[in-house]
Amino acid sequence: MLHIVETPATLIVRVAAGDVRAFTTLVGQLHGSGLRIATRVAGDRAEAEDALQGALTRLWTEAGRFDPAKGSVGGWFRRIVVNQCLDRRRRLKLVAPIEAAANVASDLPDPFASASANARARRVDAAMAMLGPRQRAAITLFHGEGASMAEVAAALGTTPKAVEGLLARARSELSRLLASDRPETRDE
Amino acid sequence: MTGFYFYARAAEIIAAYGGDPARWPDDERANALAAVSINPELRTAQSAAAELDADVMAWSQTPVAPGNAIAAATAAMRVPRTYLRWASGTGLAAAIAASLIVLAPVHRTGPVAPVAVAARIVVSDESTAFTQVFTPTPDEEQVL
Repeated sequence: MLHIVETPATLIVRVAAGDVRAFTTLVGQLHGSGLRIATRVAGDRAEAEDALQGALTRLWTEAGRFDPAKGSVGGWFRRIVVNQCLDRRRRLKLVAPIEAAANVASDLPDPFASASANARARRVDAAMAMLGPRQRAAITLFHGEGASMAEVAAALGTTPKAVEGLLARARSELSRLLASDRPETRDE
Repeated sequence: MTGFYFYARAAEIIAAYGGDPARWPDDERANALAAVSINPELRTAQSAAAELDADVMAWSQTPVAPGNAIAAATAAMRVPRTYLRWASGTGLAAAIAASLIVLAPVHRTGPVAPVAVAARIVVSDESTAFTQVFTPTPDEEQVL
């Protein structure tokens, strides 16, 4: 039996024409990465789901505006997701103090086996929460999603050179936060 | 490429892209690697960047519990396309333009019959009729 692979590029054309099945298929392809990005950038699951829902609504209503000459469907959707997250963050101004990381409960089944790694992960998580949302978005896309500098720039609506600066500042700030939050100094 | 710029650019690349040369810009990788190989400070910076990379990668690749894609797609399609088109800036501008066309006074070429227009104004008393002719200023409100 001939199996026709439906790529995002072919699906988006049908979505633009109002094809419900094509939209459901396309969402199935984009939903996972969209939720992953939104969760990292928003720093909160509920916020991430709301932002992703907003992005999917725009995907449905604005599909006709997609221009294949400007990039892939995945890149376009990534940009919508990041913008939704940044817009929501601008309105909410959520801030998580790094000290709160000490009280974050672990959801691992055996906390003793991975206590050290888990503590480090919590500190990194708390430090990430201290970064600006654009910095977090740049790190998420570049390191988490493996996007190129040009792709990150497209998602953030800026230039690759500006993203370079953004990433450098984010990494520098992250190093500073982690260095100032070593457990051996905190427990003393 | 030699001298200060050579090292400075390599330091910038490490600071932004991290310690993994595979993620460095293709057209600058060879120069940056050469700079790292002869400069101990850059080697230290690359090593520190690699440590941070590990933390960042662990953070960015922590599994995220999957959501319900079908439900999300269904919810997204509940928003009618026409509604959003009207809610957008273009739609709003079109609506304003349409209302201006409807409300704008029509240029009449024929004779105007003011008596007939006045006759259509139904008034209960004199003050009500006054407010229908023009909007009073605060001073006029005092008088009224």
